[in-house]
Amino acid sequence: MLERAVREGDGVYRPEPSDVTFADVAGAVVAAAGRRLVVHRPPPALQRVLRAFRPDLPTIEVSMS
Amino acid sequence: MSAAAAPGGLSAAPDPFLHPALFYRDEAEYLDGTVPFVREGLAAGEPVAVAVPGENLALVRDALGDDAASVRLLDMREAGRNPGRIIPGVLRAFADARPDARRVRIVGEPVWAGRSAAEYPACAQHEALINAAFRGRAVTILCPYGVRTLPRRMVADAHATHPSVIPAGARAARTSTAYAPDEVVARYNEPLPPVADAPAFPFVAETLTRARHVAADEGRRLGLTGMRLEDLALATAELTTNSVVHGGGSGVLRVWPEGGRVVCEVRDGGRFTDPLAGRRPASRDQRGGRGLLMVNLIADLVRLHAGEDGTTVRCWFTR
Repeated sequence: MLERAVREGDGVYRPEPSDVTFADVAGAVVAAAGRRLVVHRPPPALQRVLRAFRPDLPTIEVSMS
Repeated sequence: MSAAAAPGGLSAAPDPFLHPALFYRDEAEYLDGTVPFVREGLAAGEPVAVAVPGENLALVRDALGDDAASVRLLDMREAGRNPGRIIPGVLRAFADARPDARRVRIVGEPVWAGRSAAEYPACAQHEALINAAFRGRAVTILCPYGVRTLPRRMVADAHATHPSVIPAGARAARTSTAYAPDEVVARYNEPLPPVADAPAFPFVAETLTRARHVAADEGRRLGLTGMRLEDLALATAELTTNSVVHGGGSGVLRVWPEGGRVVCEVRDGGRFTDPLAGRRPASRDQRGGRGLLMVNLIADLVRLHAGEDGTTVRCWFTR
């Protein structure tokens, strides 16, 4: 889902929080390879991946507010 | 620069990587072996880290006094609880972040008397694999071993995993005549036979999501909560995906309780041929290859059996 959305659009992509319930490492890396992605309240697994590989995933931003 | 001429006319420069084992009997020998090593590094302007169990960390910190502020201090019981994450998460994390250093020094103590029978094979393999992970790097990793508290077998293994050793009470390192790291990696590649009472969930590409939910449901039922439950789900996702992509397209998942921990196991028909897989920090441009690394970073213990006809990965999560 993330991969397609990131690949097919342009500009900043802000998925609905309810659409992002899980992201494994490969999903996060693929998403980060595309356009800027802003995730509101990311699921815990994605938070874990971002903590481990944050410098590699510069295009993913987290919004907690 | 002296380089001995090797047969065939090739010059063989000595490996700049140094990996001595330091054998100690008591606190005094521990400090005699570690503190001057740290101070020499600081005096030479080298970055220095000390990653040892908490009680030994306190000894070193006290002995260093004000100099402790210039040293990266890590409790190995936490940072290195899973031996599989020590190379990427502790040693290379420190060394790779200092690319301009002439040499990097680390005191790393991954083996202590409280290591469990399940943990120790992963410790021995980790110590053996450090040599391949740092070959050619200007890094020194000094590994203390408490010869009075560790079983004799573990001390013998340290002679096989370290190219040089500092005998208890000695100051200087000597070449280890028993050095054989590949043999240690192979010897501790112990079979992980299926646990009879654990229900098996076979999976293929189409049921990867279902496999993750099965693991999470079972983990929750067994008492995992919060981030540990999420970690179990993430590890399951990574391992089952690896089976589908690299392990023949399918596998079998099992989850069961063991003491205060929940164990997750993924078994497939793939052949695991790179002993350093999951222990190299990911490069920025790398798309794949982070799955087993992620599992190593989040699990309390990872054991892997690479067999002729398949691979089994088992990971433990504390409740």
